[in-house]
Amino acid sequence: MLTSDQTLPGFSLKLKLSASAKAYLKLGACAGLLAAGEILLKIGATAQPDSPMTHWATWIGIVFYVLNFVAWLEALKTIPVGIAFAVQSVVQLMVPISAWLFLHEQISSGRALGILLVFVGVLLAAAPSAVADERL
Amino acid sequence: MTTFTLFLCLFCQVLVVAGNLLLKHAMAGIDGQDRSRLQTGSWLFAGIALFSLWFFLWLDLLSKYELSQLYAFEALAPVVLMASAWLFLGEKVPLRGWIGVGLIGGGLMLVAGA
Repeated sequence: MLTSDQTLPGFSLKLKLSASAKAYLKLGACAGLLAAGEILLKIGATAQPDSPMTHWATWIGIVFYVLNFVAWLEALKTIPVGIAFAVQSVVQLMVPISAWLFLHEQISSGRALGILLVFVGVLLAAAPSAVADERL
Repeated sequence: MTTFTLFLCLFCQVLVVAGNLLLKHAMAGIDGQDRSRLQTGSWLFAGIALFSLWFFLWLDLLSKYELSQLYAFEALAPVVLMASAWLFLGEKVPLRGWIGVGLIGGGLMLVAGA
């Protein structure tokens, strides 16, 4: 009782102070939803190569994709596109790591190096491509 | 990966970028900017159509290739964005953009071969 009384005000104060943290939470949710969505689509496409739409995983993957899109638009209301792009580039690492963990894909050292280079490239290109996105 | 697969991967990202831009402009219409309903509606429809096409192409690629290999090609999206801004608006790509494109290109060559 005492401890909860003591920590609660501090906690709520923290939440008020970090209003933009909510936007970053949405951005994190985006990354997680996107990675999970890709894994699910891959499961559906592998299980039913000729008719992936008949597999449950494909449909949950679609739902995750749509949720990701909604969370992305929400996050962009507060976070500048350039920063959002940069944070989002972490998905380039999350997806192959999840594929290795959950789908047991073998990642050769060449592929791992390639993925790392691509990740750094996307991170560097985040700001200029965000400018491009805003102008277009 | 075959040359055709690489082309499909690039085409997928062109679809995603174009779809995103169309939806963005459609949303701006819904949010009350000065646009006719017909224009907003047709952008929305075109955006959804491009995303649907992308989705089925992507599913087909996913059924043939490993996700850890295929997903790296999503990195072509920022490249397509910068190239479009350069082509259609004459926007210059800054040095860090070029370095990014170089790293993405080199990385993808490694991923395509492995």
